[in-house]
Amino acid sequence: MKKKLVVLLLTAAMCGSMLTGCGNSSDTSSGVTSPADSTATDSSSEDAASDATEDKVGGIMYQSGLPIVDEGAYSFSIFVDDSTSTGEFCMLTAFQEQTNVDVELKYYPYETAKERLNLDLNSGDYADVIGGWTLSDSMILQYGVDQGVFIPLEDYFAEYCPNISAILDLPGVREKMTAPDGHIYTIPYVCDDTTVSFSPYINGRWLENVGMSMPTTTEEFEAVLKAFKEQDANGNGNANDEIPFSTDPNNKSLESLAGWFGMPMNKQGLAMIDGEVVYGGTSTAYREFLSWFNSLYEQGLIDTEIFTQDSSTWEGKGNKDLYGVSIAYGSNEFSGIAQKPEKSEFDVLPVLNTENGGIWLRATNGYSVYRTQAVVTDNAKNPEIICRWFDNAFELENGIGCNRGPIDVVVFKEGDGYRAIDTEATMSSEDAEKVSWGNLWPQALPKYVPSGFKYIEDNPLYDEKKAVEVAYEPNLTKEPISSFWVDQDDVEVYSEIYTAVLDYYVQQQALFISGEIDVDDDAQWQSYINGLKALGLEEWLQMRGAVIAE
Amino acid sequence: MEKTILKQKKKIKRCKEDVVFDAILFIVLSVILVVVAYPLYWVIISSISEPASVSGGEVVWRPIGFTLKGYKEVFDNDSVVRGFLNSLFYTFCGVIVNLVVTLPTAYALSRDRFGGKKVVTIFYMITMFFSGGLIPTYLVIKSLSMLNSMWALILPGSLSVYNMIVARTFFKSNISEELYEAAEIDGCTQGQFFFKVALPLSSAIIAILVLYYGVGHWNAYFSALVYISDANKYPLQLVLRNILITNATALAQTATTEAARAALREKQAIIDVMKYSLIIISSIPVMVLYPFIQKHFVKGVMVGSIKG
Amino acid sequence: MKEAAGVRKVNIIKKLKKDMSLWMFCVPGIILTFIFSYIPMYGVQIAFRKFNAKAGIWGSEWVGLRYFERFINSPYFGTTIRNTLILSLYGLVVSFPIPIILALMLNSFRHPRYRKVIQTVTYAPNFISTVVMCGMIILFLSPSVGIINNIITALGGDAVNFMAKKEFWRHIYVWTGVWQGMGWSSIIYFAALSGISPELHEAARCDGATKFQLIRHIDLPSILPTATILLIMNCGSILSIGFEKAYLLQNDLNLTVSEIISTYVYKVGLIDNNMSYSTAIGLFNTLVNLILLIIVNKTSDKLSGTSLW
Repeated sequence: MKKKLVVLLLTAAMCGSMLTGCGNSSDTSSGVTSPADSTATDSSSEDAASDATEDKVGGIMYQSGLPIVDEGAYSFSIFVDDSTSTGEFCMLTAFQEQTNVDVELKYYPYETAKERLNLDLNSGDYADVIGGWTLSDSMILQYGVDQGVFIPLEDYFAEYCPNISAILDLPGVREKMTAPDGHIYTIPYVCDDTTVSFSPYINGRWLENVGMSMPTTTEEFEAVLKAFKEQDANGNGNANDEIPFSTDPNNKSLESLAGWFGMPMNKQGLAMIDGEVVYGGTSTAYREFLSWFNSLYEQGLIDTEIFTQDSSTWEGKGNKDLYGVSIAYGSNEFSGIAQKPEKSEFDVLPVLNTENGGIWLRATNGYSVYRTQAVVTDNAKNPEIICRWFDNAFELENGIGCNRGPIDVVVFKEGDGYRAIDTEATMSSEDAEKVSWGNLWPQALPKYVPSGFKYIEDNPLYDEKKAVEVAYEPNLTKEPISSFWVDQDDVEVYSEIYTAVLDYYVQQQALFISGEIDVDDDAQWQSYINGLKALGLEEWLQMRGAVIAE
Repeated sequence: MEKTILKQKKKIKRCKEDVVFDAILFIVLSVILVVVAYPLYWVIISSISEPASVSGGEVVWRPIGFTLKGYKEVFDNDSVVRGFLNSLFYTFCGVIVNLVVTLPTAYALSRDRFGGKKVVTIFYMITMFFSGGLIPTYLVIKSLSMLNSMWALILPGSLSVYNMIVARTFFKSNISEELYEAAEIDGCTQGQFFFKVALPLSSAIIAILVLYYGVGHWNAYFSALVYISDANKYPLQLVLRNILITNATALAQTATTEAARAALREKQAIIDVMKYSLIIISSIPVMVLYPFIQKHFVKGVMVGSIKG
Repeated sequence: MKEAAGVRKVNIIKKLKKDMSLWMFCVPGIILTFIFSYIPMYGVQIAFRKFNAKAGIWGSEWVGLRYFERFINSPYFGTTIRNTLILSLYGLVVSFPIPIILALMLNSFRHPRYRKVIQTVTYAPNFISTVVMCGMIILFLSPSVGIINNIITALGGDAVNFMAKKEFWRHIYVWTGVWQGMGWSSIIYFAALSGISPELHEAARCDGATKFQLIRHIDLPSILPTATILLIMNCGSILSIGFEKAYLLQNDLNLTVSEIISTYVYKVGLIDNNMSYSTAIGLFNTLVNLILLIIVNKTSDKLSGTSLW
């Protein structure tokens, strides 16, 4: 009986604390290296006007310049998905010395980070800054616009962050970063990016061995593939082991080839025609492509494992010189050939059928804008310090540090530019490890290096991606697929339909290509279209702002 | 005369059928052994082979490109050793708590005379199905100030309903009511009976529980992920999981520049080298433990007690 | 009237007193379970509310059955439920008897040291993580580099791309699960069999029983209660197939059979990070599991007298 009473009391206590305790608990335990407990509790003012009367903003932050605060005066926590092999990120240490701001970094690998983040957000125990690949547009809408867990930052940027403001002024950036309610919730991550992402590479040596020239049309390409299959193209004495065509299992991008038939699609099935976003998954051009590709498959010209292998198998086969052509980000990913200053034996396969409307989807305009890489939460005290800290990280030399290596260790100033050294060659492996790319900076967090920045190098590696860009530029769509924000009221329906339609589209594509269903049979093609519509294709496109292409 | 011939015939009959039976058994079990053993053998030789040749399908009977890099990467890591020791400690303490909670409950529920049998069973069955979920449980643990402590890993879920039911079934079949009644006559209480008679006779089920609960604690990582914030307290599986980024789609999503892709591929390469050695390292303790457990599956434990 | 009630009360108290020590046995478990399993149960209502982290569970707006409706009306509802059920039932039917048979075989096996080897080897696969397991499956079944196909071509046949054919997917999923789990699952049966008195066997042998008959008439009936209970409990997780293995074995060609509830919810959740929705789906699964469990339990009770409660 007594025990029951105790239990009852415990329950009552529990429920009581539940009712009151559900919500924000701003107990950010920083059991790490901060020398003094954060005295930031008394400086909660976010009012920009107050600093006019004091030397320091909010009592602790210097208006401008370094350091940002006095030693031990401020610390904040960052939650990010990443990992490090040495247990530390060297640029973080550098920033600590520059700014006097202590940072407590909580990091987990991507999948465990996602689970951890969910728990943190929903229990109220989240960090001051959340960053990395775990955030998404819908989370910004949900926690930022809707619930106020993520705070708007544009005022801090305007007041304290010259570097970030300059980035926002780049063409199209501010627009992309601004949420539907007019606020900016994230720190921009803008970086150079290639105009072409995944594209086919063809083995030049094989081409020579079969005595053919670079194809310019799909018919010529087909002939080349046939020659690869029938002859001993890789020169190893065995005429039967060649696999003419394959692709990266994690980024198959097969529909990008539909651009050769006039419909340059991305993996969601969207394309850009005359500056408009259209859906190509039901178009005649796409059907033509599928039919042609299926005939290649029936002739044994396509890797039979194209839909089933994982990347290690793909790389394994590529390393054994079994591939004539493969779609990839860069040819070294499957060829096993180390990058050198000279071009490898792989060439860029040009856009085919350009005389007949062949076109390729532009991936970017030279840079990518990531708008879900870092948010500041309402648990943070003095968000202005955090913003300035990031702004400092965007200084040129700091950006270089995060991108390539610390100044005077890996990168050295030379005249107007900077020279980067080869760390593998000149440092001990332990030191080289400390400054390897993954250990410089939690790379999922925003960093910045100005567009077009290049290091002075004696023997720069051959830039294959540049070759692709140059070769494809005349035949790229004018614009990449535009981004958009899902309307908050529609998020639930959107995600269901999007997942279902995408699943179906991907599977039917694989079935058409492998011949399990006949793309040339009108009834089966129509049933495919009906299937898409039944799952909500038209609704999805309406939310997306795209039209169905014929 | 006839009787002896009959008897001999019977004997022969038994021998022949049994010989056939034994032969079949031998063959079937051997086939099973090969089918199961080969992939395990393959994991072992892959752990010391060059990853490229493993994924190229070249590793079949012997290791190719002998390398101990996988093991070196794992042991070089201080956190692995610490995690190993942490896990040993958590498992040990956890199993003790489990036994203290599960065995008496299972015993009580196996007794016909226990009036609360149905109520208590349903009390537990409900928890098998309904759970408040992670957030409320987290909040409860937080309010008890158990965050970042071993107790958060051991106390919730200290009684696994599944294991408890298995133990209950065991008690029901093996410790009869008559046995207790005989002792009761001599003035024995339930408590004394449980400790002095039932438990000693139950080494098999105790062994099973130790094994099941032990493996459960050893393999656990999710609770630690949620409740432990001090990296020095991480159990082995969490440490291992943090080393292994197992998500291939992360490569697709996150790598945008060449440097990024190269670095991620490098990480992937390390994982490829380590993944087999990690399996072996993390499963060795259990493999070592099992023979000791098995000793307790002793034949005819119950025999003497009733007949005698 | 009062008297009768009073007598009943006294009876209950009497009973409690009688069973007091047995109740004491149950107390630690009850307390711990109450604290860590029952108290958090208030979180179940997340499925009926539009969860807002700032407002907390109690402050979130009540929306009733909205998320259940959303799930039932979602485009893939029928497909995912069907796939989950088929996979689960197939798995149950196959993987339930096999550990029992294995245990029976091992128990009758005449060579103790060889038997120990077999046991140790067969339970080892249980420790291979899902990720590595799936990687191995894909590798072994590969038409170009896989061992299975190497054997097939060596015997003169054509290589088969197993993972490309959706007809094979369920079989691959279930039988690799058997491979991985049968040894470990057989431990409990083996332990139960060890408890059978050897005298029973000896007596039967004297009467001329063959080994096979021993199994049929002595061994099998003695592990029947354990087996029945385990079967009933397995029925109670029919809709709860974990997501990892199915997700890793999915590819473009087998989505119609490999998209189960958990993988679909994962994909939707990547876009719409909605706690209430996933809680509602979990609750839905639970209710179906529970109904099935109750049915099976009642049936077993009627047929064999063995039941969970």
